[in-house]
Amino acid sequence: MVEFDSVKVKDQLGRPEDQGFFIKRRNETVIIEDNTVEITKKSLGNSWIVGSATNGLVGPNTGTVGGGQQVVGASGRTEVLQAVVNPGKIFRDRFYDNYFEDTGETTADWGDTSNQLAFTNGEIAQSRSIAYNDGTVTKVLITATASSGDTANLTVTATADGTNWESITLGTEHSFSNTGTNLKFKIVASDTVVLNYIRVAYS
Amino acid sequence: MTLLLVGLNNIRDLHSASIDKAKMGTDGSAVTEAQTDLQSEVAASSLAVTITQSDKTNVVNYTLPSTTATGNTYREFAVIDDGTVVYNRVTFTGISHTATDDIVVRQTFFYRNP
Repeated sequence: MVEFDSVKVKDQLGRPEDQGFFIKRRNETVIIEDNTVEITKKSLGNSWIVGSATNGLVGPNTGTVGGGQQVVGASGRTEVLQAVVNPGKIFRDRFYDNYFEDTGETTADWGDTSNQLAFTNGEIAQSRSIAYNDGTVTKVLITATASSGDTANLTVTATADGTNWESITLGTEHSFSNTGTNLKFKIVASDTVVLNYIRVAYS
Repeated sequence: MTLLLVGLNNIRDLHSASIDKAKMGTDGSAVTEAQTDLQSEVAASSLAVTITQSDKTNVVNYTLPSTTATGNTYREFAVIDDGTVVYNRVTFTGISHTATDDIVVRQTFFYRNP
């Protein structure tokens, strides 16, 4: 059995008798954001059948015992959005990708380079649905962080019903005249501005 | 002090390596941190996921085929390490699942400094 000599241990620690012994540990914190969930339905579409007894490309199927069909492809699938939900009803985008960009409406550089949303004068960034069937949206608070430029040069609008756009002041809660279940935002720049974060809280 | 991008990406990878499936359930009641699982799981919906990555980001992609676990109205979703841990629980409006459609779910996790 090993016995420790407390006096020797204290000497090895090199501390006075009347002072405590502390180990300093620096903590690093990592935040894991459980972010947006999007749910869609995809229809089956039109299948391409090989070996069918009735419409196969290779004629009647006599080569297998069951005579069944083998689906080797599908076309004409339609995709219908069912829901977009955000934990705590807060949408966040740091532009590491352009998933929520409405590419048909956006002219700004959304997440294509350097994890940012970059505008030059006159450019537009419009989102796809950032909340959909996540309760009726009556209020929204949008904040944005610029890595360069001034957010005062951004004109922001949002729609709660996917149709009627209403003016928003960044950092100020807005109550929608037209409430709904399909929340989107749109930003138009009047000068060069680069955003690296946008946060949209809604209720 | 700041965690470097390579460190955050390594944490992202560690998390990614311990996600293998996702599943759905039919209970839409409120989520609390103390919960340990879906509230009304449909066992057959527990299926493998694919994960795509970018810096500090894991995107979990899940498909519930038209041939599996139909006849239910789904209201909850979870990303899991099967048999080990349920990472989250997300609730949403009821989505009916029939033999005519696949249900596709996309969930993002983001890892960052405070």
